[in-house]
Amino acid sequence: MKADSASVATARHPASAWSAAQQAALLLRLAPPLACAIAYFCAARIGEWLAFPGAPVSAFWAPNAILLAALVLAPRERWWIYLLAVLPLHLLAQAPDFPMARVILQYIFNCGEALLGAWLLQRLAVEPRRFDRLRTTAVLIVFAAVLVPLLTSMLMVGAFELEGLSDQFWLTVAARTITNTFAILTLVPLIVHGAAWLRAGTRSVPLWSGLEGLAAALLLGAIGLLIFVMPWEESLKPPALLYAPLPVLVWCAVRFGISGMCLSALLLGLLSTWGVLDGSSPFSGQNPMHSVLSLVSFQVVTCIPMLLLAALIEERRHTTQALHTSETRFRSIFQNNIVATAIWCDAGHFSESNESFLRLTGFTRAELEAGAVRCAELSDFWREWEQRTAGSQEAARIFGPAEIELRLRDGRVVPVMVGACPFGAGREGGVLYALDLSEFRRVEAARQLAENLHTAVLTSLHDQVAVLDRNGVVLETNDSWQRFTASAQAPAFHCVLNGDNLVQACILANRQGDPVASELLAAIRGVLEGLSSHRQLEFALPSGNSVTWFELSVEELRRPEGGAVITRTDVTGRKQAEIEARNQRQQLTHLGRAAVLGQLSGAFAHELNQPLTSILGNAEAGLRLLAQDKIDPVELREILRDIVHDDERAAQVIQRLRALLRKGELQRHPVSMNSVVREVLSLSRSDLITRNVTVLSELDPRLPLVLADRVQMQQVMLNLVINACEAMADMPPRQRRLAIVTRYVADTDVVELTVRDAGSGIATGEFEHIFQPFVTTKKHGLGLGLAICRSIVESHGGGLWAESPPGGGALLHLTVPADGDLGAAQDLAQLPA
Amino acid sequence: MSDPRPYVAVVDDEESVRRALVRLLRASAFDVEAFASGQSFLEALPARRPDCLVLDIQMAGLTGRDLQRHLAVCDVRIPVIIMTAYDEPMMREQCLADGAYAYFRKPLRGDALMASINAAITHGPRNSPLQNAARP
Repeated sequence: MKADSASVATARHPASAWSAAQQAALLLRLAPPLACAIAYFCAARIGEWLAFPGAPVSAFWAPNAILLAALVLAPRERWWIYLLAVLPLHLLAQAPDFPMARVILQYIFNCGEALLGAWLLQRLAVEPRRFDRLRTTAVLIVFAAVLVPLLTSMLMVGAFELEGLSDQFWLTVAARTITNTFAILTLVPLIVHGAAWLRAGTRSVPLWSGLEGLAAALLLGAIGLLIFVMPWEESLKPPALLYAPLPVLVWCAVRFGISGMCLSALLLGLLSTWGVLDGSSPFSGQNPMHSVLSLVSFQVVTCIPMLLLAALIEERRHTTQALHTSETRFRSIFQNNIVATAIWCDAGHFSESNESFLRLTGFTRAELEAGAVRCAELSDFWREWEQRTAGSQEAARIFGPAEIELRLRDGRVVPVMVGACPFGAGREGGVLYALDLSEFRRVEAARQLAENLHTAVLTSLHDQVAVLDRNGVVLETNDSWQRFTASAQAPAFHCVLNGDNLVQACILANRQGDPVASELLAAIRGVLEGLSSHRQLEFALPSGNSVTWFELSVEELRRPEGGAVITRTDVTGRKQAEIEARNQRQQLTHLGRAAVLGQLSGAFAHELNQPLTSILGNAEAGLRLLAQDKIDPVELREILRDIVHDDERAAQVIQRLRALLRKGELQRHPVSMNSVVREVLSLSRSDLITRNVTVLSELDPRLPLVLADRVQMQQVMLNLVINACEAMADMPPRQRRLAIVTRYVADTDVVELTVRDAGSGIATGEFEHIFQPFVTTKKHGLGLGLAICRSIVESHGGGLWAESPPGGGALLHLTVPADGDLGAAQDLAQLPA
Repeated sequence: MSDPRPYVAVVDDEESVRRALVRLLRASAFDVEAFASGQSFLEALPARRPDCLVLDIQMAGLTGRDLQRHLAVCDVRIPVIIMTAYDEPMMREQCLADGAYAYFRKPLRGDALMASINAAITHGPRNSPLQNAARP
């Protein structure tokens, strides 16, 4: 239940809030018409109260003026609301005292008068709500205050007569017109300006102005009382006294503007009406109607010139203020302008200038003000000016803008952009504008220099350069690129020029299956899309009977808009040198291998001669047994089996030798370093025996494979074994122990092989030296063995170094990266067949 | 009853060579015994002295040269025929100088070996300078 009531409450709440807001807005809209209607009613009641006894006219009829002021203030589309709002209160004010027909006619003509007056003000006055403008005040006086009331009065009184409500046409017309005129002249400006004052927000009135206003009001009141209210002896009442309030009215008009003027006229009207009603006024006579007409005529006649005076003075004040503001603004523009500006007078010297001009020319303000700076001092300008303007018409005499070199008093020559124009028709002086171009020229010169340098560098580059924007469009190419493009028999994407799109060209070539285009496209896209700042590729182009090799690099163009720089370099020379070097390296490696095998020639001879001995021995034994005719088939089979076995053994030895002496390209395959060790130990077995060297090998059975050239690894291993044996040659045979260990180092993911001998070791400081070429301790040898070994191991991504282990001897470390993809070797690799 | 055939000992660390030589010598009517090392030969020597020793040079441990020198120094007078799979410079001269009866490079022909063994058995061992030096 609670929830229900809460939801009902929340549902109702927005609706009620909305309607309250609507109501507030409606009230705000209706407030001015309501206020107008109430004021209309009050003014009608006051008008009735101020009606002269015995005359069908009031001394001050303000309702029409209030309605007119309200319509002037209101937008035209809301006027009907004001007219409707006034209707009931008009009836309320008038109906009890007058016949209904008269009341209705009065309402119609009052409304008509206000409507017509407001419409004319809006049509004829430029600013209908500014009575401090002479034109608005004049329209108010002539049309809204005099002609329209006169017209409506005539129509209304005519209607009255038709209805039998009045019989004194002209007198009634005059009375209604003149009383409305005074009320309109005083109240409409006062209400309209008061509303503007209220709308602008409350502004404090300066104390002195307040005191001055009070003094003026007191003085005017005193004069009014004295002239209009105090009873005077008939003989002592000079008509000239009626002019006594004029100085105070002028004071008010001059000092307090249109509103002050209207207030003082109202005060004077109040006092003079009091006097007439009291019978003490100079306007009091036998006929009350005449008294009223005389009084109000006096008020209107006094008021009109004062209103015009006040409007004129205020307009002058506004104009002067606007001129002053404009002058200040233009002076500020003149003084602070970065363009040097100076005015020269007919006497031919500069009379005025801004600071920029003084800074540019070096003249001083004092010189200028003393008239000591002659135009001819700026001779470069003045000569040009006189030449170009001599005898030409006014319109053609506007000079510039033109660039000239201005020679100054201190000898400096400044490049300037100048312009000038004369004042008036003749030569009454003129104005000169000059803009110092020194900084522009300096920047332009620097820019030109930079551009020349940029062009020169690009032109001088031997490499071919092309600059691309972020979309791959060629922005610039150098001469070298253009020469290549003009002469090369290359695919189209290599020959793009300024304005071509290299990316699109590569896409096209890629579709036709060009591998270089595909690679180049990937490189350019990688750089343009910010994936990398540099890409490089190499490719070959056929050139006659040979090929030309190019290296192409794509660099990020370091600027906010992005882009790339392509550099194409002919690297055929380098490429040939690389091929040459590789061949030489292979040859050297092969020579090194041959040298090592040469050292093992005795061992190989032994390894071959042993099976040959067995074969020969067995064969001769067989022959002898056959000759003796006592051959046992079982024994014969054994003999033949042994022959076959020994023959195979000999063939294996030859196969290994051939493999080691093979000359050719590197062939990397998965290789077990354990099997390499075993093969080498097998090859050098006889040598080791001859040298009395005992081998202790400790081979890790779970050693991973490595990606290597088996023959080169065997070469390295043979070198290490032979070096170790030679290092122990001088040691007693029992001490000649060679330890070979393999293991996997998980931290660095490498296979490590160590060879340790029991020789005299390596001197400290020689660890690196022994790997240098032509370093040897042997009598016979070039000293290339270890240098070649290291180069082989390093070409496999591994390392080879020496140490002195505790306990003496030398320890050689060899590492080769394990090939993770190959898994553990499981030590199954065998010798090649 | 002792074997009337001449007794020849073969020392070689290579089994296939031993087997072939044993076959060859037996087919040529020799009493043959083969030893895989100098050490095993020396151990068997006191039991039976061969009429001729066919000795390989390159062997692990005690080499053929070591054994030849040892026999000379111990004044064991057996004719020695040396064979080698790898002929190092001056090896032949050194072996002969040390009292070897003959020196053969492997592979060696059966006829030449037989002739050399027969001659060695017939003429007996040659004197060795080591042998003379050892004598008081």
